[in-house]
Amino acid sequence: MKKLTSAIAILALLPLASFAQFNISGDLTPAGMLRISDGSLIDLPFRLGNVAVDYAHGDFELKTVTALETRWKDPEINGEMFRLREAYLLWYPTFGEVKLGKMIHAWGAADANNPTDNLSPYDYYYMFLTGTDRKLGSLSLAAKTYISDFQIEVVALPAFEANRFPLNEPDFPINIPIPEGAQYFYPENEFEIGGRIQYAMGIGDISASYFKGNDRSFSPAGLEINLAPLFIGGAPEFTSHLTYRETDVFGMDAVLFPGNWTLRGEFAYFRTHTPDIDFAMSKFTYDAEYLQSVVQVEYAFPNTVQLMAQFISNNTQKMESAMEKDGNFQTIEFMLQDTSNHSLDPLRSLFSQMGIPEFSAGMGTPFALIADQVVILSSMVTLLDNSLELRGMIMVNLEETGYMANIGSTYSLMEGLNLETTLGYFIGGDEAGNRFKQLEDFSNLTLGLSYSF
Amino acid sequence: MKTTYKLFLTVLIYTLPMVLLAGTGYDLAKAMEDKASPSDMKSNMTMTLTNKQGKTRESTIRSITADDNRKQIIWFLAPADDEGVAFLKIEHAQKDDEMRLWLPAFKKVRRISSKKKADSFMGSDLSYEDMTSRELDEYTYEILGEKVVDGIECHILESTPKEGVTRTYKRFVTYVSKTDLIPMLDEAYDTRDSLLKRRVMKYRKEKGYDLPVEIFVENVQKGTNTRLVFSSQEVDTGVEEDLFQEKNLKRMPK
Repeated sequence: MKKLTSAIAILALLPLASFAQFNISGDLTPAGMLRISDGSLIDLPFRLGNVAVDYAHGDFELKTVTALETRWKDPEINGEMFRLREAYLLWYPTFGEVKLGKMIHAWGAADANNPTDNLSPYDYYYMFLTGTDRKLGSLSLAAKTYISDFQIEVVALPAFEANRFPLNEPDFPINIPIPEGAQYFYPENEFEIGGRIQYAMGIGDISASYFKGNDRSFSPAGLEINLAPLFIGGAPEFTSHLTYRETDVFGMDAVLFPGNWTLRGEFAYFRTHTPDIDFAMSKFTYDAEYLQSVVQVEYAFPNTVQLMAQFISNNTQKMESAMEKDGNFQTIEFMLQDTSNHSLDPLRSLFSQMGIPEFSAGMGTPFALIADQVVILSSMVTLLDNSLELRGMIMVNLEETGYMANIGSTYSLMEGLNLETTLGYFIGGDEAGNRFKQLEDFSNLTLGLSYSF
Repeated sequence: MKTTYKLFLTVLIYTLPMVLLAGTGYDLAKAMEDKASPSDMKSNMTMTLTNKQGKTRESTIRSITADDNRKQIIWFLAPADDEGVAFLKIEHAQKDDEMRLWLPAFKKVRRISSKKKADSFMGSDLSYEDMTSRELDEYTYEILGEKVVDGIECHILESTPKEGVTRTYKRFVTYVSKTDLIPMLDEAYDTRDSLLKRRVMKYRKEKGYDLPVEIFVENVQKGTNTRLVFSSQEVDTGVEEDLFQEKNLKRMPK
C-alpha cells in the first residue's frame, strides 16, 4: 500500500517536474580517529557522506538532507545507515519565508557556541563537527518576515526532541551519568515556541529572542524503590527517573564592528523548573535561573591570518531544589529509624547517602556540560595560494585545570577533494570529577578525506 | 560642404569628451561617474583563480547588481564545495555598508565587517574594497598624462584617498579611454606605494552602455591572478529593491 501511495505521489508530481528544478549535491567524508596514547582506533560512528536533494518549483522548494552513518568496527550496531536529517518544504512569499517539516535551526551571532540557540537538539555523537552537522532536525513550522531593517522570526515545534547522547559507548570521552535501568519521562506538553527579532544598524546587528520549551538534556527527577527483593534476602531495587525540565529562555545577541575588530556576543537567561508530575516515591524538583554568555572578538590581518577569542560562561543565578517523599518512602524512612534491626543496615546506609543530585543546565551551549568558565583562542591561516588551510585552537578551563589544544589542516589535493587532518589533545587536573581528565584518553589524530559533488 | 559638415560633426562627437576633459582630474572622474550606466545588471561569471605555480581553480557565479553597483548579490553555483555560498553587499551613504555571507553548512547569515576591505573575496585577487564603488568625493584626482592602451588612447588619471578616508591602497592610476570614458587599465598601489594589483578590463556595447566582458586582476606582488569572464548579461530588467534581502541569499537563482 505504501509503495502504491509513493507511486501515485510521484506520478502526480511528474507534470510539475517539467517546470521545476532538481539539484543534487553532497559530500563524502570518510574519516578515522586514532587514539594518540596507543594508536588504537576510537570506535565511534562517523558520517561517510551526506546527500542534499532540492526540488524547486516557483516560490516553493522541497529540501532533504540524508546522511550515511557508519563505524569502522561492527557497523551493524549503529542501526540504520541512512538517516534523514532534514526534509522540509520552503515557501517564499513576498513577506519573507515559511518552512514546514523536519529541519535544523540556527540562531545566534557567535560561532559554534550559542546560548540562544536552543531550537534544535544536539547530536553528541558528532559534537566535534561544526555547523549543523552536530545538530538534529525536528518537526517545526517557521516563518520569517523582513520589514525595513527588521527581521522577525517565529518557530513552533509541536513534537519534543531531546539531545542524542552516546550511551554504552566506551570510546565516547564524556561520561554521561545515566544510572542503569533509568526510566525517562518525556514532557507532557511537547509544544514549544520561539521568536526572534533582529535589527540591522550601520555599526552591526542586534537581536532579541525568546524560547519556551523543554530542556534538551535530561535531569534527575526522582527515585523509585522496590523493597520486595529485601523480603527474600536480596537488595532493594532503585530505579532513577529522568525528565526534561520546562524552561524559558530570554536571549540577546549582537554583532558590532568597532574599528578593525569584530565583536560578537550572546547572552541567554534561563528560567527552569521540574514539571509537576507525580511519578516517583521520591521526587526531585529544581527551580533555577542561570545565565550563559559568549563574548567573541575577531581580528583579521591583511595577510590571510585570522584570530578569534571567545569567553564562554555559565552561571547559576538562583537554585532551589527539594526532595519530595511520598507515603511509601516515609514509611521506609520510619522503618529505618529502628536501628536495632541490623538486617536493614545496608538499606540504611543507602538512604543516608541519598540526596538531591547536583543541578546542571539542560540547555544552551554544549560547553556548559564540561566547564563553567572557558576561554577559547583560535587562529586560521591560508597558505600555498589557498591550497592549505591551517587552524589552531586552544581552550582553557578557568575554574579547574583543563586544556584542549586542536591543530587542524585542510589540504586541497584536487578540485573538490581535500585531505583533512586534526590533532586534538586534552590535559586535565587531578581533581575528582575533572572533565578534562576524563577526556585525556580521547586525545586523538583524525585523518580523513572530503569530496564534494 | 555637406561632407565637411558631417566630418566636423563626427570629429566633434568623438572629441567632445576630450575637449570637456582637458580640465582637471576631478572633471574626468566626474564625467566617468556621470556616464550612463545600467540601473541594474544580471550576469553569470566564471571566476578563474591562478596561483603562482599556474594551478587554477574555477568558480561559477551568478551576480545581480543595482544602484550603480552599490547593491550586489552573488551566488556561488560551482564548484561543489562552494555551492550555495552567497554574498550580499549594500553600500549606504549615511551609515556603514552592510556585507553578509550565507554559509549553508552553518545555516547562518554571517554579517561581516565592511571595514575589512582588504580581505580577499572567496580566495580571489579581488578584495572586498575592489568590489565597492569609489566615492567621487573621497579622492583627489590628477591627470598624469596620456598613453595608448590596447590600441585605445587613454588619459592617465591618478586617484588618491583624501586625508581621513581609510583605504587599503595609497593610490590608483587608471587609464581611461578618451572616447568612452571607461577604465581600461587600473593599477592599485599599496600603502608603501608599490604596485600591488593591475586590473585590465574589456567591454562590449549594449543599449548604449559599456558592459564588462572580462576583468583580469593580477596581484603583481604575489604572482597570482583572477580572471572574471561575464556571460548571459541582462541590463535594465527592473530588479526589485527587495531582492537585496537576506532571504534571497538562501535562494539559489533559477
